[in-house]
Amino acid sequence: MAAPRSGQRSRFTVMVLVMVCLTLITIDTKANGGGVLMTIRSNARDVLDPAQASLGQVAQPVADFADGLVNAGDLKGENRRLREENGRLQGEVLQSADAQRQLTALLDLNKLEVVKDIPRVAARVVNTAPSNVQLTVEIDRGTDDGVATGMPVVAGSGLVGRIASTSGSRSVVRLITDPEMNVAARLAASGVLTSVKGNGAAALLRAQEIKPDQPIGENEAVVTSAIGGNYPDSIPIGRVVKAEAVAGVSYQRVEVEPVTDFGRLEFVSVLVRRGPNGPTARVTAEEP
Amino acid sequence: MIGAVVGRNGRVLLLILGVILLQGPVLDRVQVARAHPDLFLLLPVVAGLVAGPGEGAWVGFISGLAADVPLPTAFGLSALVFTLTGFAVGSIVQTLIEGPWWVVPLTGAVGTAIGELLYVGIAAVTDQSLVISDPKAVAYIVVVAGMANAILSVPAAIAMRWAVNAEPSSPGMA
Repeated sequence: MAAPRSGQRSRFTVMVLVMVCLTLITIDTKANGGGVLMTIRSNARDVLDPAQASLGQVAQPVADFADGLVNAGDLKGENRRLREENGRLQGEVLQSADAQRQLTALLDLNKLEVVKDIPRVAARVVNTAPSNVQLTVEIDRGTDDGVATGMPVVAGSGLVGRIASTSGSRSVVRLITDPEMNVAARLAASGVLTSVKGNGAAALLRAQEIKPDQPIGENEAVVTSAIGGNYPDSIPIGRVVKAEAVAGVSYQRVEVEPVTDFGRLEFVSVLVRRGPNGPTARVTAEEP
Repeated sequence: MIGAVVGRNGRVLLLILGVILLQGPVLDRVQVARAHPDLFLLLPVVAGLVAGPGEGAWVGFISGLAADVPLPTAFGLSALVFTLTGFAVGSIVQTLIEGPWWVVPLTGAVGTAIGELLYVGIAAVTDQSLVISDPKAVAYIVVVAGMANAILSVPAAIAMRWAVNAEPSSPGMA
């Protein structure tokens, strides 16, 4: 008799807990990013952050060692690739200096945003999402530092993602590898407009809606487009690594390798863009 | 020593606190093929295994609430998923009495897979756009995270058995 009674109690417990969870989800969803639950979360985050940051510093060598151990093969390959890329980039830098000067002059002439002129808030990546099914990272800057939802985030020169939510001292960045992310983009050399879609953490990005007759150069750079107003123009996203026509489909299948290494993000910059109606005025809607 | 002072619930809370402190700064940075072990999800799995469905549900609820704090999705989503995962694992493995050694890692892997799939499914139903839904990406994560959690499930099960003070004849733990 004890086992059935215990089973009934377990079922009753789980039903009560499920009801509580559904209530919490409903309250939080209705509050739409505000409300008492968000305040509790923000405060809890702010309380836990110092402990996590301290432990993170202490444990960094251990985490690095374990990471190096499981990814040793990848690191060797990556080093080789980076050495080759470094040589190529040094040449490109020399060539692009004059082009950059001309571009800046043109953008100024047309009163368009120049990425280097946008104020930045430097931030440290303090957490990646504890859940594997959310492609986000947490940074140590929030509304107190002028960060707002929707602002673009870059690492070095490459696009990382956009601010998804903020608290006083922390923000969550949604990465461009998230399959729900669509970034207005163009191919840098040919000027072909496209949108770049995330494809999961382990897969390459996908440049969409490029017709078969549109030329794509090998290793052609893909940069953001200002169309839609979500991103400033010309932030590097990645390079085309594969482009092929697919039978029965009216667009090419174009795969893009991101310039940002999302597995080793440490420092990023938030581009603090201020529209006429506040920080998020120009970055509210996601590009299709 | 500490365990005797704080009692059963206190020990479970200590374990969850330890996971809060470890997951972000350490485990999230140890990426294996772009996925990482998920101790928040593993806790209810091993609680269900070691102490049954009721304990699995409770541990899942608390662990899920803790996991929800830094996540941008609706508060309570992880708690709901982990509650159901702990209960499901506890209900299933009750039939395995004193199983062989591999019951623990297998339960860790399968329980993690159940949890991740539940997460994606419930997120889709509750319209949580920050949770990925692409089938290929989800399948990949289920496999990699399941394997990573399988490795960690043995020490996690030992810690959970200490916390809930379960009988040593728990499945796979004899």
